[in-house]
Formats: sequence, C-alpha cells, structure tokens
Amino acid sequence: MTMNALRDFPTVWRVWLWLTALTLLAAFLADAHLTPGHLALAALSVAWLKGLAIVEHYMALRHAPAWLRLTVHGWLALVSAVLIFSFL
Amino acid sequence: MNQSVTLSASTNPREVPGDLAMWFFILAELLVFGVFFLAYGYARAHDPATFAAGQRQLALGVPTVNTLLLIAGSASVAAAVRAFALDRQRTARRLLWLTVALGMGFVVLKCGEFAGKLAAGITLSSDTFWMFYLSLTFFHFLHVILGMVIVGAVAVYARDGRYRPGQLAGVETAAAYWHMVDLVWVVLFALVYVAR
Amino acid sequence: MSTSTTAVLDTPRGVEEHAATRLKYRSQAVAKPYFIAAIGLFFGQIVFGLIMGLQYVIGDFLFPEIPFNVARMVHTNLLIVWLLFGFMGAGYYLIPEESERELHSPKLAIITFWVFLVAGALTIVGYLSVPYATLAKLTHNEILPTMGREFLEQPTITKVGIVLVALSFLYNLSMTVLSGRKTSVSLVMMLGLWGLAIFFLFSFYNPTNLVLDKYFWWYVVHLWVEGVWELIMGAMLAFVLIKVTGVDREVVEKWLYVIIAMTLISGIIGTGHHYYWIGTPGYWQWWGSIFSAIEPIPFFMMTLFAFNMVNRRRREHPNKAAVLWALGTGVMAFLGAGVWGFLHTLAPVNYLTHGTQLTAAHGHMAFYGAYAMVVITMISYTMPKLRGREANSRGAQKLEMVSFWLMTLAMVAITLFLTAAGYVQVSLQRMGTTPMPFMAAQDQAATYYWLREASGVVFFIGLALYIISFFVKGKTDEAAH
Repeated sequence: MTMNALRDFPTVWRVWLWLTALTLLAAFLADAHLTPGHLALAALSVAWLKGLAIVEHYMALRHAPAWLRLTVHGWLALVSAVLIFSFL
Repeated sequence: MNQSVTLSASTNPREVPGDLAMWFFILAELLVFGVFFLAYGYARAHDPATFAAGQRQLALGVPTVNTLLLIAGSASVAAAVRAFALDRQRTARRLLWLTVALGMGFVVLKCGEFAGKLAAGITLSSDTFWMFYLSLTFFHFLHVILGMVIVGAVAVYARDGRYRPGQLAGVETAAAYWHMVDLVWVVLFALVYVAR
Repeated sequence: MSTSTTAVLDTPRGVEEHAATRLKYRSQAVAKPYFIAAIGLFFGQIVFGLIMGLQYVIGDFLFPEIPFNVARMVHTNLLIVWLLFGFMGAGYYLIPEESERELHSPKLAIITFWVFLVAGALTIVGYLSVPYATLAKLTHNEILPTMGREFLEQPTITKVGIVLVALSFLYNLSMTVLSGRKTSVSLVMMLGLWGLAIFFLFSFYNPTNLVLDKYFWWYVVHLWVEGVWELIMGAMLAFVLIKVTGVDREVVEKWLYVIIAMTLISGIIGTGHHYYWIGTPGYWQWWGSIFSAIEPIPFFMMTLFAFNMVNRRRREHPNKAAVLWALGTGVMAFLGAGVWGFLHTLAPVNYLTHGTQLTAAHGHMAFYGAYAMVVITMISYTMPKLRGREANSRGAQKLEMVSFWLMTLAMVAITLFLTAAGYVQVSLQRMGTTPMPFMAAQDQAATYYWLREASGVVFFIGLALYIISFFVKGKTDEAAH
C-alpha cells in the first residue's frame, strides 16, 4: 500500500533516496579516518546538501514567497557555514 | 505576510505552504536551535579536546538509523500532502500514521541511547560537551514528540475528509513542522555525532 | 468608585441606566472600581518613584521618615498591586464578554475588591509607619517566615490574603468560562491568571539555603513577568485588538497561539539567566544565555501582531486613544523587555552588569512597556464603555494621547539615562585594574540621576494629564461608529 503510494509520487521518492544516500555517506565518512577539520567540513557540507533538499522539496519553499524561502535558506547557510569555520 | 494568514489553500505558486502563524513559529524554533548550534560551535572551538573525548564515546549506528527514520517520516508526510492534493484520502491518512510510527521508532531508540548515557553516569555537569549533548538532543527529542502529536492530530482530523484539493493548509502546516524537526536533526547529527 | 460599587450591589438599575447602553453584560461593570483603584495606586507608585529618584542624589531627603529602602519597597509593591488590580479588572470585563454570559457572581467580585484594597492599603501603611523588622514582629512572621525578599516583602498574612483574593477571583471567572462560550482569548487569559496564582505559592517557601531560596524566589518573579504575565498580556492585547480593528478572530487567535508558544519555549528555561554564579550548576550559564536570548521574540511578535492587525482593520473605531495605547504596548514591550533585557542577558555580559543601573533601566522600560501599558490599553478601551459611551470626547482623547506621549517619551528618557548611569557604574566600579568603590562610582553618575529625576517629573505630569483626561467633557465623536 505504502510502497504503491510512494511510487505515485516520484519527487518525494527520489528526494528520499537522495537523503538516505547522503546520510549513509556521512556515517561512512565518520569512520574514514579523515582529519578532524576535513571530517567536519565533509559532514556539515553533507548536512547542508540534505537541508537544501528538505527545504526546497519537502517544505515546498520552492513555491513560497521569496522572503520565507530566503530566510530558511539563510538560516541553513549561516549555521552550516559558521559551524564549518569553527572547525577550521 | 498580509493576506496569507487566512490562507486556506496554497495552490497559488507564491503562497506560504500552510499557515503563516506556524511558519513564524517554525522560524522562531529554527532561531532557538540556531543559537544553540552556534553556542556549541563556539564552545567546541575553545575546548576541542573535551569535545573530541566526549564524541569518541558516541556510537554512530543508532543515530544513523534515527536519521533514516526521521527522513523517511519526512518523505511519508510529504507524500501524504500530495495524496491529499489528489484526494486519495485513505492513502494520505496511512502515510500520516506511517510518519507517526517512524517518529515512534526514533523515540524508542533515543530513549535507549539516553538510558545508556545515564547508566554510564553522564550528567549535565559532566563537562561542556556532555552538557551540550544532553541539552541539544533532549530538546530536539521533545520536538520529535511534538511533531508526532501534530501529525497524529492531523491524521485524526483527516477522518472527516476536511483536507481536500485546495483545502490543504492544515496538513501542510503539520508537514512543515515535521520537516523543521527533520532539518534541525540533520544539522545536529552532522555536528554532534559525525564531525569529530 | 463607591457609587458604581453600590450601584452593582444594591441598585442594578442604576448601572443599567448608565453603563448598560454600552456594556454587553451588566456585570462587566465590576471592572470599574478595579481600574480606578489601579490608576490611584499607579499615581502613588510614581510619587514614591520621584522620592527615590531624588534620594539617589540627595541621600538624606525625607530621612528618617521615608528611608530609601522603604520608598523602594513601596514603589515596587505598589507597581505589582496596581497591575494586579488592572489584570483583575481586565478579567472581570473580558471574561463575561468572551464567555457571552454574565459574571458568575458580581457580588463576590465587589467583596473581593474591597478586601484586596483594604489589605493592600494596610500593608503600605505598615511599610510606612513602622520599621520593617517591627512589621515582621507585629504580623508574626516567625510562624511562617516569608518576608524580606525583594518584591515579596508583604507580611505573611497579606500573602495569605492575596491567595484568598486570587482564589475568589479565579473561582468567579472559571465558573463563568466553564458555563459559557470558550474562546482562545479567554482560555489564554485563564491560563495566565491561574499560572499567576499558582506560581505565587512559591513565595510561601523560604529555604534557609540562599541558593535554593533564589530558585524559588525566581519561580515567582521570573515565571510571572517572563511567563504567565505574558499570556495575560497577549490575551488582553488580543481582546482589545479584536474589538478596535474588527479583524477576524481566527487571525488574531493564530497570532496569539504562536506568541504564547514562543513565550513558554523561551521564558521557562530562560529563568536560567538569573542563576549565573550564585552557587548553581554551571550549565545554567549556557541554558540561561541561549534561551533568554530568544525571549525578545515573543515581544517582537506582539509588535508585529499589533501593527499587522491595525493595518488590516475593518473598521475605524472611534476610540483612537485605545488604538494608540495598543500599538505603544507592542513597541515599548519589545524595546523594554526584549532589547533592554537582551543587552545584559548573556552570561559573560551579566558577569559585569549584574544588579547595576542597567538592570534598573531594563526593569523600568519593561514594566512600563509591557504591563503598565497593556493595563492602560485595556482601561482606555473599557472605561468609556463602563461610563456609558463607545469612546470619549475628542478633547478627552486628545489629552489622553498627549499623556501617552509624555509618559512614553519620559520613560524612554529614564531608560536611556539609567543605561548611561549603568555604563558609568560598570566601567568604573567593575572593570579596570583599580575599580572604584560603589559610592564613589555612584557619585560619578550623579548628572544622569538628575536627568532621570527630571524625566520622572515629566512622566508625573503625563500621568496627571492622563488622570485629568477622565474628567474632560465634550461632544463624543461617534460618527464612524
């Protein structure tokens, strides 16, 4: 039932696959013996990518007024960027 | 922000998805977590050794599964919105309950993780890392529960068929809240568990 | 006030003739004596404020009759009591109208009023006539010691009286709500009022451990002004905005819910900003800083809320003064509680500023901007109706608006001068390698204290004009009604 429903909604399905893949990538990177700075850069960049997909597709802010879309993207960008810098 | 408060549908391309008041709430929540994350970054940068020592004790398996559960919940509630838009009521309601069930999975695993830490004698006063770990994850944990309550409530309301094409504001509002909880977790997962 | 009081008790017809033309429910008239008492006590508060302001620069002014510590106690206690009178009046007016039925017992409301007024007056007389220690002895504080804590100085017997008054008030309103229409405005109002009463109970517990004592003390003080009082404020503001703008209740309710959610999320854990370096665990520095940094948001939302509703108004309400007060509340609450609170809420900043004039600056503008102004907003909207007209005459409103600007601008000035004094104090007394002693640093800020006192005089003139505006007659302009 649920699987059928998901097949009916290709965007949701593709975004889910993309997010799952990125999550597994992040978990893999954690054990990949990177230097702390590189690992933080990789992990938070992956988080940023995941956030972009969630904001655009799931929160559906693609279709929202610019102020709202920019505010949420601004939050994500600011938090990710400042955190990355805090590791460098 | 003028006319959209009373918005009942968001078929129009430049409208806020769901209720504007909820979006203000979501933005405020994002700000709370944002401040929390930045405080973590500031504290870690000033004491990286303590944070690294604490993070080494965190297992990655459970939080990875938890991330997958929340993401699947997001996919499911997003699919529910689209199902309501197509007036597939039964499918849509099942997808909402699926989200609640995935959230429940998160809660159970998270409780196990907390129990482990408590058993290991870790408290808020152990050190700065554990203070942030417990505060951040517990605060987020409460939001997952609230998200489950909101999505569950919408699933119950949906029984009378009130969410139809053009009448999606309520379910979009609940979905937006869930996605916010997911979005925050994605950053939290990377910051607390992975970036060590 | 006694005429309207007797009118309710003995001759309901008298009230009917005067007020019922504008009141939806006759029993709403019980709000009137509460509001009059509130304004009277407000006047007293400002008089004592002026006395203390002068004592800052002329230390022995009125000594030994009214020492600084007594004047301060009277100033802050009158503030709390007049705001409580205002909240109660607002409750008695708002709840019947929202519940669409008469008050459960108007008679009980009037009895409660007199009990509260007499108990409050006796307490103030006690503060002024005998030394505080004697008052404690006279009222047998040793049986259940609760005295001696800032804002909660009331003798134990007065505290018991406050609880009884609150119970009678809550019983009366809850019965009204339970058997009437339930709206979000009335539910939020009741949540706030019940919270107010419940948190006050912590004032009866006075642990000997000073750190524990601070926890419980702030459970009253902080959870009042940065918790449940904000709910009361939100409900009162929402009620007046619905009335004067005619905007859909649904829209107002959404705003109200979000404001409350933000208040509770930030305010409850935000209590931590009082727990820095007083013997509490270190995590409070993080929790207090992070959550209280968010506390300006609900106040900012109230500003947005007030302006948004007024911009989308569906009618031109003849009571322009009430609209002005409502907008002013939004702005001043945000500046006073939000901005001035944030200035010194972060732990590293508070390390230097704790308990300085910066705190006084914040306290003044926050109490005025949030709570004094929201009560005046309510009074401004309801008083004309309680006196049998939709709005006051143009002349009266003009004078009221002049008083708004005088009081508000004077409060801005007081806040700025106290902030300057606080800066002087922090930089001289708490920073540098050779910090000055307290009194020496105070002397360096004397100019600012004089300017503050002058601003206080302007505030007093504004308040006098406000009171005079109630007696200005003239033609009521109801063309737009």
